[in-house]
Order: sequence, then C-alpha cells, then structure tokens
Amino acid sequence: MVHLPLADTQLDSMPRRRFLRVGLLTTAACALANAPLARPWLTMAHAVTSDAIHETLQGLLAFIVPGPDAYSHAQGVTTSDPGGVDANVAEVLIATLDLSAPFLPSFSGVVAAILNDLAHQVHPALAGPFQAPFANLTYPEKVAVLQLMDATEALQALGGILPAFVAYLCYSDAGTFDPATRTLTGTPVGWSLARYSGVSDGRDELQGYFHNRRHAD
Amino acid sequence: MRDVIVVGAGGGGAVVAKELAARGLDVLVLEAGPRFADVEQDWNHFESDANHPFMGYFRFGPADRAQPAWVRDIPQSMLFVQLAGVGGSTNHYQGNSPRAVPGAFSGYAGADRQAYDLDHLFPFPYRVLIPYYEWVEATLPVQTAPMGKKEAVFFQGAQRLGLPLQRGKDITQAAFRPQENAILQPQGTAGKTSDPHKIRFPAAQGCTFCGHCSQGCFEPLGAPINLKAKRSTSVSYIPMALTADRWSTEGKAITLVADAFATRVNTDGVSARSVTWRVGATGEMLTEEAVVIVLACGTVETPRLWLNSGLPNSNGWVGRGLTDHYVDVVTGVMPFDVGTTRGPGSNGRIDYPGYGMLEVVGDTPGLRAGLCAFSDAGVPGFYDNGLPGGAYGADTVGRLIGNDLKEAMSHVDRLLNIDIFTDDDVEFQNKVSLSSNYPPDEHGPVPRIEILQRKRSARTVRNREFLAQKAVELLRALGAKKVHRINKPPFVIHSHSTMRLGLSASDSVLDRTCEAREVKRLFIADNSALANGIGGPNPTLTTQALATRTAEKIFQQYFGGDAWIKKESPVPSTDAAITHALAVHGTGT
Repeated sequence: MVHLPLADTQLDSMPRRRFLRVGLLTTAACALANAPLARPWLTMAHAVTSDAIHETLQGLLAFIVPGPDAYSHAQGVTTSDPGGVDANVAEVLIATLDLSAPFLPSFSGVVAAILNDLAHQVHPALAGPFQAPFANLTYPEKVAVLQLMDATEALQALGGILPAFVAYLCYSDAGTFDPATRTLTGTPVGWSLARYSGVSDGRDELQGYFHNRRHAD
Repeated sequence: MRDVIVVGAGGGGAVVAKELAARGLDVLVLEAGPRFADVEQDWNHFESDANHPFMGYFRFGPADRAQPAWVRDIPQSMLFVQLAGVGGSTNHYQGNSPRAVPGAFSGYAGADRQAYDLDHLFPFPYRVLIPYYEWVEATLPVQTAPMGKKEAVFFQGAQRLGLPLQRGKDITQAAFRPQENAILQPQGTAGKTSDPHKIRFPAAQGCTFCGHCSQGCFEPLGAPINLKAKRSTSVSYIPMALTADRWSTEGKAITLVADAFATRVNTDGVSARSVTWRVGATGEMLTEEAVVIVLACGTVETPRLWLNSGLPNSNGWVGRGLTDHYVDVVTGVMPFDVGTTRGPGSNGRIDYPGYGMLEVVGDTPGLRAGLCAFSDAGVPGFYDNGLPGGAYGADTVGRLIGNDLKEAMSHVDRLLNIDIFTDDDVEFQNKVSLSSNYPPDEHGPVPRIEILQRKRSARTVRNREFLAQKAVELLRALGAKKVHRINKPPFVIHSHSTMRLGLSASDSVLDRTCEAREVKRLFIADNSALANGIGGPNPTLTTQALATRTAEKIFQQYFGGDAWIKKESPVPSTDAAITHALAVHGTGT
C-alpha cells in the first residue's frame, strides 16, 4: 500500500453536480475522486503544468511502447523503430483523460500528479533531463510505479485501464484520425509497427468450409 | 394506451418487438442510444471513430457524440463492454450464435450432470428451448461459418489435441467446430478480393471478410440494410419489426423511438402500467401506458431501472448473480501468417461442457494491443498480483507492455488469439446496484458494477484454469514461438443473470415465463433474464430464443392469442418481402 499523508483539498467543495455522464477512464477518475487517500493527488494536480503533464504522459507512452525517442532513452529501454512517442497520440491521450472526467479540473493533471508522486516514492533522489519525475525513471522503476498502483485500492482501476488504453491508442489509428472528416491524414505509426494492411471493405481471405461442411447436422 | 412497450432495442428487445408486431400488437420500442438507421453513413472501419471508449460511436452514451458518455461506477479494474443504440451490443458482436450447454438446465441427466452450477439451473429442461432456438436460427439466419486462415490453423490445433468435430448444433461433448454464426455466408466475390470495385452488392453478398466486426458491419456496400452480412438486430429484427405490416398478414409496424432513456416503470402496486422516459435532445420527460411492459436494457440498466423505479426486491436478488464468463486470453506468436486482422471476428470454437469454451479471435491492431496490456497479473518478470493463474507452459503471464508488447505486435497477423469463456457460477456477491458514491445523473441514481475477482467460487477458478491450460496446449501443438497468458481483470463482453429466472422464488427475480415474480405484466427479455451463464457459450442466441418464448407467453397470457412456435414457419430477416418493404417504405424513424 502507498501511505500518503492525508490533506484537506477542495474535493468536498467540488461541484458534485458535475459528476455527470462519463466514460471508461472515468471510472478510474471516479474511484480517485472518492478515495480519501487520493486527495493529495487531486491537490497536487493543481500545480502540474501543461509541460509536466505532456512529459509525464510521453514518459508513459515510451514505457508502454518504447522507441528511439528521448523518453525511451531516459528509461533505458529503446528500440530503433518508432514507439508510442512517435505515434502522435499524446494530445489524444490528454484530451481523452480530461474529457472523461468533467468533474475534475484536469484529469490529465491528476494522472500526471499520481505518476510523478509515485515516481518520487520509487526513487526519492531522482534526477534527469525532464521536469516530470516519472519521465526520468528507469524502465524497472516505471514497473514499480505500476505495481504501486495495482496495490493501492484507489488506483487499481486507473492502473488497470491506463496501460491498456495507451497501448490501444498507440496501435490504433488515433494518431492520424481526423474527427472532422472521419478520415486519416496518414498511415498510423501503430499500423506500421504491426504490419497491419489497413482497413478494407473486403479481403481475399476465404479458406472454404471445414470438410466442406456448410450446414450443421 | 399501447399493447406493449419494449425498453431497449438490443439483442433481446428487438426480438420481442418483432415477434409481437408480427402478431398485430401495437408495440412501442424505446432506445436510449442512437438510431443507427443508415449504417453505411453512421459507421466506418476506423477504431478511433468506432471503439474509442469515450467518444466512439460504439459507446454507452447518447446519440449526440458531443455529449459525454453515461456514467457507471466501477470501483475496480474492469472493462464492461456494452454499447447504446438500436441493435445494442449486437452491433459490435462477432455474430457467434451457439446454443447453450444442456447441463445448465434443469432435468439434464448426462454423465457430467454434477459438473454445473446446480444451484442456479434454468427452471425448465433444455429441450423446451430447442424450438425457439430453431425459430431464431431460421430468422437471423444462423449458418455454419466458413474459415479464414486463423480458423484453419485453430482447427489443426484442436485435432492435434485429439478433439472430435462437433457436427450438430447441440453441445454433447468436448469438441471443436466452425461457429454457427449470424453472419451470412459469402457469395460471389465476397471473401475473394480486396478490390473495392469488386466487392459491392450484388456482386458480393454475405461476409466480405473485411475484419471489422468490432466496428460494425455495413458490408457489402450497397446491400439493402436487411442483407448486411452480420445479423445485428439493427439490420435483422428491427427492420422486420418496422415492416411487420408488409410481410406478416396480421402484422403491425412498431413505433421505434431512439434517444429515449427510460427512467421509471410505473405500477399500480400490483402490475406495471406505464414507462417514463427522457428525450435526450430536449430533456423532455414523457410517459406512456401499456398493457404489458418488457425491459430489455441489458444486464446493468435493467436492474438500475428496476431499482430506480422503486419496484419490489423482497429476496434481494435484483442486480445480483452477475455472471461474466471470467474471460481470459491466451495469445500465441506464430511463425507464420494466420490472418488475425482479416475475416470475421471468430469462426472457430471448442466447447468443453462443464468448463466453458475457447474461441479463436481476430481483431484490429489497436484493440488487440489494448487487450494484451489489460491484465490483473502484474508485469511478467517483475511482479504478479497474487491472482490465481498458472502458466502451463506459457512464456509469460500478465500484461504485455514495453518490448514484450512490441515484439508480440510486430506482426499482428501472426497472433493466434484464444479467448477463454468460463462456465462461471452465479454468485450473489457479483452485482449491479445503485451507486452511493455519485450524485444521480439526469436518469436517476447511476449503476455500480462489482465483481469480486479474487473471491470467485472454486469451480469457477478451476474451470478457467482448465481452459487456460488447454489453450496453451493447443498453441504449443501448433508450434507457437511464444505463448502469452494475459490473465485478465473482469473483461465483461458477456454478461448475464442479474435479473435471473429460476426455480426458486428465493433466489430469482423472474418466473419460468420471464414475468417478474413481484410485478405482474412486467417481463424481462435481455441477458439479465438468463438463469446463469449458460455454461460458457456466447449468450445472444439463447437470449433471443428465450425472448421469443417470452413474446409467445405474453401473447397467450395477456392478449388471448395462440402459440406459433412449432405451428408456423418463420420468415427469414433476409426475405425479399422485407427487402422490398424497406426499399419502398424506408425504415421509419
């Protein structure tokens, strides 16, 4: 368990009526918003700058899908081919987090606060090229942050969904999808990584019927 | 006053609506989500547009995508996959339509009869449901699925495990088979080309093997809506219900109202009398009366509506007994192409009666990567979370992230994914209730979903482990280079039994006709009505068969009608009369 000093926050005075109509990641945000242990992170989120949010989530993208970028170098796990940072999904991730929790001023800021606070716990004397502590962690230290999330009741929903959602974004068309036109502006990085042939209205894939059986007995 | 109001136009509600419309009743169908009337315009193949859990068109949220999705309080790591809209979750399902396992029913006398959840059986024998299965199978229609590469490989694996081929529709032994699914068999150029100029209707008919079941099926392009390949109720039962006056001699077309979120069922203390709903676009509240009311809002929203309506819950079972097939995934990295992203979502299966089932599953790269990283068992090589789950020879157990994920995803079409669906027990602890953590939304108190993952019954855990071991064995038998067991948190793509029918009034909400024990004239016709998890198979066909039976019971009991199953022949949803009616008269609202 993560033991943090409890502190009063504005949570109790938060406009409760804004707890409305929320999505998948929202369940994680809701769990946080109602957990006493999570209150320090909600407070810390107010102090997280947009640059720090961006760095933290880039560090997360590099963690889930490493590449040749600076964040992957900082964690000590790189690849020569593109990774999550190159997938152009950081802004989509930030926007999704914020939209999914309209009752919080900045859910992306809360997520960044959590990852950076846990980074401090994992490595108190942390230093590195980024202002966001999480982005300076080594890969095993990032795993330790995930382990802390898994072990903390208020963070289990977030720890469960966040890696999956990041992986989904990195390998989907999110980085090049234009919602205004509902078309792609280019080939998604994840498609190239996965050698995906792209969308199609049909494929030359039919292999016939098993033992030519077209009907059940 | 209407004859019948059906709340929910998904897999079950659409069936009741069509069947009663065909008998000439005046049926109003309310659907909370979007209409999805023009699937070629409404849907496309992009994961971001379709499957984004917050903004995609396949979400649990209102028709207006500028509005946020609807809230659900899920206080744990869990993915609960449902969507709103006409067609409900059949819009993104894979069309698999197996019958239930006979051992999940009363009166089963097979040698393995002790292997099932004996405390929560269906309150009638399996044979009772067979005529209703046959009716639905002819209506959708359900056909034997063809193979893509992944199915051909999967069947080789099943044979190497020594499993026999199941030849009939009824599950009688551990065996493999092509799916019986609600996807029209490919004809013409379908499945034989990726040339966009050659795969339009009518040159192409049935499944085009596009690989986009999860984004919604609008193939072949140019086909009338009732001839789209995958038989979501949005393209099968709903078009039939909307044109019932055109193909049934005594039929009466339904009234379908989308963007209508039911917030209350009103009673006179004994019987259901009316439904109140909120119009999403305007916020207006409307109420209409009916002789009979049918709830088919799904396993979460049906108990929520019940509880928000203040309906009786004397035995405490409303919302309880949620079964979810305790899903897991085992993925093999194959040394050759298996066409993971091509063809239908799953055209092959193995049933293990008493344990559950395995399916070979393909999907698009974003969804697959996300599923690889969604685990309850830590990170391989670093830590696990103490969740029961053996490797059985798998290389890893837990989340695939970092280079493990990149390596696995480096050729997505070489992933042979086997989904595990466990025959899990009905357990009182797993439930849908009303959240006390959050203020009500515009539809009332919001639902809270809880599954105690680490307190599942011994039989449930044993069954899942058995299936995981079989999946690993199969992949090894096929020469997988690596095998990964994900060991998932609740990944709820099948959910059932939260308003279960049952033998005993002490642990069920519905009687054997699916009428509520404590509220007359109120029936339930979605997955929540199922008595249990039906032994592991995909639940939609069984829900649709049960809904057909429910419609017949309603017609007999409250409208003085005669039964029609076993006496008449069903009209297929692909019938030319329906195609013609849709072409001439459209699909209504």
